[in-house]
Amino acid sequence: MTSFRKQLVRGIVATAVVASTLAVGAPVFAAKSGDKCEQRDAYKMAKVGTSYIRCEIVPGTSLHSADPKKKAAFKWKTLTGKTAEAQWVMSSAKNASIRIDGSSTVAPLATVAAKYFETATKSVNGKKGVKVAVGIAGTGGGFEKFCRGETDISNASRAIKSSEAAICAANGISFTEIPIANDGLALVVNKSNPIDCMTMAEVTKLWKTSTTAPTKWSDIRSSWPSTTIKLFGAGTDSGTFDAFGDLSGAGGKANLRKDASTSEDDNVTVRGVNGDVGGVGYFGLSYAIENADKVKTLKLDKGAGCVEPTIATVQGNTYPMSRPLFIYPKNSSLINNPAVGAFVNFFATNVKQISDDAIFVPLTDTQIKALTGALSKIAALPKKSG
Amino acid sequence: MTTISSAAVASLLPTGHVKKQRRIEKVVVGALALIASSGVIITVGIVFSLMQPTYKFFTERAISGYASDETFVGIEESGAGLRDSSDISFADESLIQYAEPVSLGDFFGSTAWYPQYEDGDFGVLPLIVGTLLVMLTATIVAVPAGIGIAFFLNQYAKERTRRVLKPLLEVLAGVPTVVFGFFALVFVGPYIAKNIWPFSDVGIYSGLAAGITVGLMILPMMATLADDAMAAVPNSLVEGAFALGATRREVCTGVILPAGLSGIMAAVIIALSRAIGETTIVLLAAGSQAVWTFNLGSEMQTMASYIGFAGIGDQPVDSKGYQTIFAVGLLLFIITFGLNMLSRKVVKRFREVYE
Repeated sequence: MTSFRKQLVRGIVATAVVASTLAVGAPVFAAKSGDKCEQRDAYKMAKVGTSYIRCEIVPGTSLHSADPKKKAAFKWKTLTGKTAEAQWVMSSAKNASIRIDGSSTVAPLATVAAKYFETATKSVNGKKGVKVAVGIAGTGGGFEKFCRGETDISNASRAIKSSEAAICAANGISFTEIPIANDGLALVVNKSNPIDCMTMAEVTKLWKTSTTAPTKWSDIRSSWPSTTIKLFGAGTDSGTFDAFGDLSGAGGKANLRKDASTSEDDNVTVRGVNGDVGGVGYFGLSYAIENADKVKTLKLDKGAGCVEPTIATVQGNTYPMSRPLFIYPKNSSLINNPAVGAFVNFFATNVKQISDDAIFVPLTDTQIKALTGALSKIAALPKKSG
Repeated sequence: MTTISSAAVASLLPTGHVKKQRRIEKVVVGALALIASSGVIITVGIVFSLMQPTYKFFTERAISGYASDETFVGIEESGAGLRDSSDISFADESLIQYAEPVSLGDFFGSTAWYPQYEDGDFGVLPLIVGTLLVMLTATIVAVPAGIGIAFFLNQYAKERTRRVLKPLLEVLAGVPTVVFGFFALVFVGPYIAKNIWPFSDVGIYSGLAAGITVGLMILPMMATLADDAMAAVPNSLVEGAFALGATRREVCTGVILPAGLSGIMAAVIIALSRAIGETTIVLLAAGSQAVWTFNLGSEMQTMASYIGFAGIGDQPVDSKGYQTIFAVGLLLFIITFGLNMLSRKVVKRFREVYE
């Protein structure tokens, strides 16, 4: 018994000694501007002398490039001017957690931002970095939680409704609206479906509730196959569902066909359309690009020819089903939890790169103005006293 | 016999020690009684917790959603006006949409089940039919195979085979149902259900795939219980049959099956109760749409899988969607309860008493 206890003590002492040696003996930060760094270290920051360096993607390369020459590469880069200090201050947030919930469309974007932010804060504060949790309750579900005060930031794939804002107001929760990216709604079909392009009138016919709603693809256009249509829709709590009700031409979500399988999780739709020859569904463009090997994205025609959803066509509004995405930080969280403000600023100031990495369509110039305006409103919020 | 000495009388009276033991005894009896009655208490608790929202579902109107005000902002407008909570005035009450209470006639008479939509439909029949179809498929898979396995274990298998096979079966019974769910999704659906259903196309989600997998899930339980029932048949009967020259097959079908019938029936019904309440497998494999159909190749929802589906979304408390979960839950409880009552009757009816 005694000998066992002795052994145990010895073991603990030995572990402690080894651990402390490792900690003390860890190499001092030695990277300098221009040195290579790893993708997992993206947005790591370090102070070298009086200047700040950050691990960033090399301009011109992309995480999603098919061209091997443009494959993502990462290098340490010196930040200059006011940006440097500001980014350092944001990355200095520590010992906090941020709760985000809402749209499953915005989630991949917010998750990338969260990952970079966590890396950045960890590089400054070691293990005491900030933890960011991103949920996918859907835009409506997200606002319900947000207006009950359960989350710090709500992701939304549509603007907040005045009815939702009223509930927030009734619970004493104020917020700031920030446009964060754009998204095209992609209409996807099974890979074996010969269809490539649909007119908006056909999209409306396919999705609008009616006694003569098509049940076979050939009911829409006689040259199309006679396979049975299987509809996969977005969850009824999601902003995608709301937006699709308007964008599909059905005249609002109340007029969308009910005989669709619905889920808040877009991956369920991917699986359904992938496994069903007659399947058709819709979700954010980034999901469509991510799952290009599993489903086929259709081109859409609103009278000026078939348009493929791309960054340019979505930004330029030539693709018929485009929409903006928002984040809604809670003002009291911005005031009371400095990490929330730091995250929102980090997200907003690095939004272009984050959009690229998460395959979202970046903001237009007008939207960037709105975003800057929102940030200055946030900066003007009262600071926590004491 | 002389008079008993007073000392002897005193020794028969309860001493402090005995009194203490009696007290302990009392406490133990009380505690055991409480534990024994916990089953009843929990059942009452379940019924009670299901009752209230269900009652509201049938009698009160509830929030079903919000009118489509400003649902959509286009890209061009999104940068136009900067808004925050102070810009948005109180919306008037009229934006809130209410769903009227659902009548029992609508609940049991309508064949449309779309509770998650703003103007929802609340006909529970598709769920009931879905539940019955999945249960039936599971029965067809599990009962014959389960009885077959039990015969094999009980009569044909050598002792060594039995020693290996039975624990293996019990391990299968311990596999989490979510694992079975994925098995259904990636294997049973695309490779089995798709190829054996002659009546229609089978999509990625189908009642058939779910039913087969639920059958596989309850199979070990079915087999083990049936095996136990067969083992309980008196050896004298079996040996008597052999002595009369019956073959092993004749012993199985002519003696063991009828003699063990009450136990086997009980096994079937316990397995069915499991099948009817199975949520995860059906949720993963049968899809999320309650289709009014008798075609097993179609997507479907069972009562349990609807509860699982609606329960993970954010249903605001006291909304119509929230209440449907309880109404369906109570119905499921009643059906399962009825099934268990039935099983008691059946077991009694088929019981053969030998001693």
